Amino acid sequence: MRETPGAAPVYVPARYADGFRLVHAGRYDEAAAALQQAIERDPLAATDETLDERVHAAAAMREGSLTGAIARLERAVAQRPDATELRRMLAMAYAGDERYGQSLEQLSAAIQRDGRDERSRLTSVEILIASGQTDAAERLLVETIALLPESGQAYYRLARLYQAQSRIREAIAAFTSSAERPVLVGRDSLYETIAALRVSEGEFGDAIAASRVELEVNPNNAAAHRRLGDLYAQDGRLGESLAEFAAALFIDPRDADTHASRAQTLLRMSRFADAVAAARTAVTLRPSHEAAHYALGTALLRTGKTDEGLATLQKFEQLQAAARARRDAEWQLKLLKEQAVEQVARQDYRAAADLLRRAVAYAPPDGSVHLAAGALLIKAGEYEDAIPLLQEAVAREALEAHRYLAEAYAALHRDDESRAHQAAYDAVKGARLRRGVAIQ
Amino acid sequence: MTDPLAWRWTAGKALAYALGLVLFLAVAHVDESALVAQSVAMNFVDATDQAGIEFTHVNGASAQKHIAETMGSGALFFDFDNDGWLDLFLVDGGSVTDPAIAKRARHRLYRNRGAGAAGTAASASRRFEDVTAASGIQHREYGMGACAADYDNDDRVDLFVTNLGPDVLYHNDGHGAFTDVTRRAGVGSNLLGASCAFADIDNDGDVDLFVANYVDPDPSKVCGDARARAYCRPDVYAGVPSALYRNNGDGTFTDVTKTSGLDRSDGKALGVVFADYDSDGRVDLFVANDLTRNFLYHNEGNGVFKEVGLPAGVAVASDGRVRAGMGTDVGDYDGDGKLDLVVTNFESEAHSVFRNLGGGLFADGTFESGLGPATLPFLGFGVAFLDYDNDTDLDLVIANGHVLDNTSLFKSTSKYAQRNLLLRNEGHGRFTEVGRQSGPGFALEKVSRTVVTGDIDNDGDLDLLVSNNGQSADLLRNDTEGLGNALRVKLRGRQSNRDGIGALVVATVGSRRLVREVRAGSSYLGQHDVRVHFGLGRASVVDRLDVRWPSGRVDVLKAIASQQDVTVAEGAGIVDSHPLNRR
Repeated sequence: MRETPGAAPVYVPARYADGFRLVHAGRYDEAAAALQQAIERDPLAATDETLDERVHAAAAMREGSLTGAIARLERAVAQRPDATELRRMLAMAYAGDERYGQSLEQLSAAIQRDGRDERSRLTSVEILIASGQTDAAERLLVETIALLPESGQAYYRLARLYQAQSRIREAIAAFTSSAERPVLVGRDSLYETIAALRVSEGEFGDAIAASRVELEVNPNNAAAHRRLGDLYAQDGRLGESLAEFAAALFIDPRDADTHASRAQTLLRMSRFADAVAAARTAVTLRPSHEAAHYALGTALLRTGKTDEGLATLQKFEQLQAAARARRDAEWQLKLLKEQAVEQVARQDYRAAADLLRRAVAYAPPDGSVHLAAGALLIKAGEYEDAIPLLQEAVAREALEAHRYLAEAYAALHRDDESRAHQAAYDAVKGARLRRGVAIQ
Repeated sequence: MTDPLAWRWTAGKALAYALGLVLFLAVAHVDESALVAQSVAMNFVDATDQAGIEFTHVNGASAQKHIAETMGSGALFFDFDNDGWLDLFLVDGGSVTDPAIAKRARHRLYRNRGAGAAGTAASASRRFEDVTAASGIQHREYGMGACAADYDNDDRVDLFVTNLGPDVLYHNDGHGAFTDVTRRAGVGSNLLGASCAFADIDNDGDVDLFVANYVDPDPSKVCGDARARAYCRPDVYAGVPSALYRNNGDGTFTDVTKTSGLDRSDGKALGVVFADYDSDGRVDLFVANDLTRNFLYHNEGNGVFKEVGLPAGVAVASDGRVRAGMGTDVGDYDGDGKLDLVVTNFESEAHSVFRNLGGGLFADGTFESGLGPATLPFLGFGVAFLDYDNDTDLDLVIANGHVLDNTSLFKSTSKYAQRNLLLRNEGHGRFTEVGRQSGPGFALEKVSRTVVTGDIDNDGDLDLLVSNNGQSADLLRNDTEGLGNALRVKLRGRQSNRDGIGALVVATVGSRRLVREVRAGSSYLGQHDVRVHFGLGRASVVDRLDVRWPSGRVDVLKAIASQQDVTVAEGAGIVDSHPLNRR
């Protein structure tokens, strides 16, 4: 029953929360009774005649046979319309097939039948978000929390929604509430997130407090010690900062970031020789470390080693220029994408695709830009032009491009090629379903 | 036989002398705590309407989100009619996209009626009168910033305005009239000008001009996301070189940007301040760049500047990262006699203070000084080191306001209009933010850009002028009761430039040395009063005043009473003085 730190949080479902609390309190007999009661009411744990259907449908989905799974689940739901878990599974299968409307209908029906079905509610939230209905998702989460105040997962999902919308204060409050619910694993990462959000609000004291809780959960997290050291440094508590860096280096002596942070703190304490040593270690461990080069160059100048200091700062400038070039490329790419989105909104797919063609020059190696440009050209009816871009996308492992290639070849009446790419796409989709990754 | 009365007189005199000495020592020669007036509750009031200032900046905000719309605008304090009362100038913007809106924009020149306004029922009532129309100052381009100095040493301060489009130099003809002499002077750069500053870079007796140019404002750039269109970050635009003009002494300038080593496009300059940071007698130049590293140009003395920002430790923050530098100022905030730097930055970056260590080196003192946590949530522009409470040490005022008019769409806690900050120097180079306790003037939340300092009512304390993007400007009068004493010093150069710009003025009060430099251009798009203000706490006398002129001459004056406005002429000492009108 111990928390396993270092992972994304997994919460105890609301209906089991009381049982887990009793376990934590050492009241094992009462805990067993409460958990048994919760299991009996859990649609997932039901061992009725729907079990077979659920098992078979899950197997079909794992094998990538979405159509088969949907057909089986539709039959089962028709026979057992009150089985909410069946409806939830059917909703997930519909969503896997990008049939969001039907998916939400099933979830709505499930929630109508059992308002306290936490899983259906949270699945519904995910489908709403995937289909761009974030306001509705927020309303449903708020309603779920009112109904199931023990739902840590609902608080967490709401927090992430707020975070995505830059509603930082609301996100902090929701993350904090989620951390107060029983967490099976990942409580440390929750507090790491809270600390980072507090920093973004300039609340160093609260950020330090959150970071300390993170370390209480997992004292062997070197990166967490470094982050806390950085926080202390920003708060002007340089001695405590050094202590945290020492703890981090005790756990992971080869972490260049910690050595670089330590060098910066030593510089601020005018311990220039120590700063030189720490920065040198960081640079040795990671020769591309910008901040370490800056700290080293500055510390060398402070100790009178002017030539070496200037040479180090020159190296820092080169690293900084390279990083800036990368950032500029990323920014140009982002801009072109945004302009393309505007053109799409105006339904000028040709113009959007042209923008994305320009964006290819700044594109990362993942093929996503080629894929988007090709898809837009298909929308514009420019099938011939789309094909080379989509082929390049496939070469870059953007395998969804098969779907668009199938479409392009079909439009050009090159049916064999179209069928081949459709088969390739189905194979990709099946593989992803087996891994539990939705294709969107 | 000794007259007992005489003895008594002598004894009494001795006692009085001894008491006087004790008092004198207490005031002038004991530790600094004795100098400092008791902490008083500050009271900055919004005197804009009462003073007769009616100015609302036209930013021409458009759906196209042109970068210039969110930058301006500037303001400055200067005494254009030499009557001893500070006048003010406000730069107006315009419109990039709509000629009808552009036509509404109008710069404003306000003359301080001074003694003419005093003595009325409300002594500050309608202190300022709009004399723009008669001045000949016209609004032709989208205006940004301004700076002022007497470039031709004719005893009248001239005016320079930066624009999106050609910059403009106005010659002060006297009698309130200005003439556009840009073409003859050769200073009409067409780049997007931001801040500007005058200083005598070659110590030849006339002031030269630096113009900080920002970026190429390519209107085809489109930013934002699915939520909304937004003003672009500077990364999107290419940087452009700033300009340095050497004064030829005949009313013309030579563009020496290239020969001086300043011709570089890797900066995106917004703020500028001249300062002799290494006390070698040659004025150096600091440029605050937006999301590229700041430049510190060391004046090598042969018409050449060498960029030393990185080795000096002011180019980036202590973590090695660039910041979005906006405004800047220079002052000795830690009282060690060396000039330190402050730079305002973007929200979540914290504004930076760089402590001068000597030897050409600076340390990032942002977090040690307390400036970091206090400024982290704010997007800063104008900034000034000032002794607002006359307690001898330099405090800070910072004007804040976001650049994105829809910033809350992108970050819920981010605000377009922000409150301005007043940071009290606690005496050990540590600042505490006291804006919320400093009167209604600091309760305002606007989209502030520049803040400049000056004593509009000659009462010995510093008032503030704040410009706001797309909003009315604010004149914040310091109405605090019970402040310490003050001395104001105006310089009259003879061999040096007329206003002594670049002169180092050091007041010795007891054991403390208060260091100031005369400057024409700093903050963001603006300029503080060029006269030097010393808060003196309880001290009634400045023991010694050292003036190191740009010519190299050093004048030393002794035992100057406080509560005066004195004019010190190069080589001639105090040539004029007036009492400061304490309320």
